[in-house]
Amino acid sequence: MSCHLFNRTRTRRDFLRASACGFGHLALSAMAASGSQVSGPPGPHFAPRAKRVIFLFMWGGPSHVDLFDPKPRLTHDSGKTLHGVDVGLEKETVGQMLGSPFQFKPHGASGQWISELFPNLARHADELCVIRSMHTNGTAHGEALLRLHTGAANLVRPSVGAWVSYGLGSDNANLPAFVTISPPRGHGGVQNYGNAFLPAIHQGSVIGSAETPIAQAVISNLKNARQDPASQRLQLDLIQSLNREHLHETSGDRGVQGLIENYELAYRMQSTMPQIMGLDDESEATRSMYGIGSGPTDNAARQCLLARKLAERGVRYIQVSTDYTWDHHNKVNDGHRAECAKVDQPVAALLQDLKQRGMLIDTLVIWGGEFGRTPTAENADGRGHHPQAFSIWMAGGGVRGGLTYGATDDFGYRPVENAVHMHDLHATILHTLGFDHERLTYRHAGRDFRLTDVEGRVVHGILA
Amino acid sequence: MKPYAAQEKLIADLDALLAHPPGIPPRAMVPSDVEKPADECVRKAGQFDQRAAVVPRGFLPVLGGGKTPVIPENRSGRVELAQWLTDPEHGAGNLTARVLANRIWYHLIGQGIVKSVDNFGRSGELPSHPELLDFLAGGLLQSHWSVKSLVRQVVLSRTFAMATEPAGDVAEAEKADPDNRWLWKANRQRLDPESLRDAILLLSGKLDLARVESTVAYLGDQATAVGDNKNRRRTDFNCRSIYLPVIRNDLPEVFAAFDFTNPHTTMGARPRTISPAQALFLMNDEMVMGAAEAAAKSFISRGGGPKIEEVFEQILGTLPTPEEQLQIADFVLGTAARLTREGKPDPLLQAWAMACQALFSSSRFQFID
Repeated sequence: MSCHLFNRTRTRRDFLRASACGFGHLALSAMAASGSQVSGPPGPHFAPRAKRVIFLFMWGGPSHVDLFDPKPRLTHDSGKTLHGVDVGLEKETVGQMLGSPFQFKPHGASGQWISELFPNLARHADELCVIRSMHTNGTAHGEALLRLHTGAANLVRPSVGAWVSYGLGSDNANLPAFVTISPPRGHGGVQNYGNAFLPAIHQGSVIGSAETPIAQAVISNLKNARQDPASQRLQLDLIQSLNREHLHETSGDRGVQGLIENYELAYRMQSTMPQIMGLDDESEATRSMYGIGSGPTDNAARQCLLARKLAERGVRYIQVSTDYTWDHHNKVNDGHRAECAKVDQPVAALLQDLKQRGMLIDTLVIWGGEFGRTPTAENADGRGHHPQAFSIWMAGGGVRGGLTYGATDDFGYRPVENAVHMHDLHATILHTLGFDHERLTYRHAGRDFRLTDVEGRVVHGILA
Repeated sequence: MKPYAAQEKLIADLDALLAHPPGIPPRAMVPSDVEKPADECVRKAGQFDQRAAVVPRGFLPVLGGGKTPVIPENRSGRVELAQWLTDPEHGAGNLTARVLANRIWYHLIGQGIVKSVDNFGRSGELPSHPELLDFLAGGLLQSHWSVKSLVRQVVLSRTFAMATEPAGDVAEAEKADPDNRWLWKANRQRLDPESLRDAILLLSGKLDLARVESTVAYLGDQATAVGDNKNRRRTDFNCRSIYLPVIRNDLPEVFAAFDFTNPHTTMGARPRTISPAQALFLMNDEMVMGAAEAAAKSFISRGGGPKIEEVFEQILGTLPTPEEQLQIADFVLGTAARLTREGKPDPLLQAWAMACQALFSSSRFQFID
């Protein structure tokens, strides 16, 4: 048996491995084991305005003309035919206009226009930066979701969260950098939070899935159904002493060393994750501010509070997804009324909570769906998919609150001022985190890849 | 003679056939040419609905000495492409053989002769042993693309037989070639998820080695459906891992945790990572615990009860050190005593089951030394 365990720390790789810890460390181990080039996370290129991102994803496509982009003319002409010439299309008719029945009012000192469906959110109008001129590609949910989450629909690319994890690494040795709460299984599924060619450590860690209430969500294999923690610790001690014997025999093999540390991390996760996921340690005031326990808000309330707890503990990119409930091809009024009632209070509480804790200043909160909905009617009382124009809002880290950015035409059909493409949104998110989107690259298959491919420009007009 | 006797016999034959139809013969999906093959147009940025110029089908003239095959008017060119790909004289056969030989070498040795297995060109890495690569590729061509012959050739080599920790003084080799690029020892390889699961099931005595017709038939169109998939895929089969369902958005846990190739894309080399999901799988997954209990049961049922040396060797393929023997004995006795005190059923079986699970989880089980 060889006894020169400590003689072989010889490469830069080993040094980096030995000097890091936790999740970042494992990423390094993983790369070392795969023989790829190893370095720490690239880190920001310039001073960041945001340290983390919370993305509130409204799956299905919220209707911009009913929520953030009031169109008096559309309401006035409701029922009439929208002609192609009205919106710069060559075709004769586009469809029958469907005006929004919802009242819009200016809110806050900034006079931000918000629909009556968001009474709680409206109280934070001066924090919101509403972009009315978003546009994307993909009329189908699958394509639009993939573009929103990864920037590409026809090729497998890392998701935004994976890029952020790669760029910044984790801020907490016991938690991953990228967590996705209740992600959709369909419309691209895992690809929407996947790491693609980035090291697997950057894949989104999944809590639950969209169709499962978050109160019942579990993290796969986080709990042993047969043993209590004390008994499992004794078993783990046996595993680890066998592993150390193996490590000794292999003269300190990197992979074996990585496995040993990995078991300790997993064991710590078993106790830290349930602590975070259990919301009982939050005060009753906080729980009721979010709307836990009270009817339609319960699920989103739990999701948003969990997102805040993860943000507080150093997770860099947190996505919260609704179920596939915003796709109102029929009865869009009833549908949107119901969906807004689910998220209005929880999302407003999240902003309030972040503000109270002094975290909104360096947390970028983003609210939006994969596309908007048509200003014309579908099935008489519904709206179709509309990637040509839609609204999202951002708040917090590095963006200007109380700003309405960009504009659509009189019908909300297409952007007519300061159009912002999905690639531009991605470039801007990276910018708030301190990254030049053209320089945050990863070498794969012989070339450097980036989130925005050959597109994207930072929307400087919305930056604080 | 009865009128219509011949017809009646035909009808009787048909009835018999319908009553006992012959089984459906084995089927495989194959591509076939469309009736009128035509050239495709470029789709801008890969978007199916963004059409640009039509480009005639053709071949890379840089390969095969400049002369490229002509695709007959009424043919798709699929056959010509297959021939060209494997033709060393007038096509890409030499390159194909090198790429294939390199991949087989990579799977067996743990490191490609060209390290960038998925990138075999100008922007990829240079081969460490170009003559060896040509020798293996040449053999592949001579054997008419016999993968089996090439595998045999490699596994019978001295290189394949080397140890990961060679005896004797290796200080000089360590210093000169710390990354083992010149193959002075074997690479320590991680067990892939299929082998890991198969090995655990084999030791539990549950592994079903028979071919399985389908592990997705029960899903119906849910196997390909998007949106809310209520009918979840199962993985609780005891079949070999190769038959497990691969639903792109819903991989079996063991695949998702342990670096199964991303099913959305093609990949010659799988990623090799260490992640907490792997440790959590081995510590807590029901399949692993069930297999450990079954293995423990079979060890206990052997005459004279389980012997630590035997259990260790069966699971890890090597003998325990005296210290390891002692640790396992301590663990089993201590756990059994504790479970007895707590009034738990089958304390000895459960103690052994936990010990077997610990061996499944150990680094020796996950690495091939």
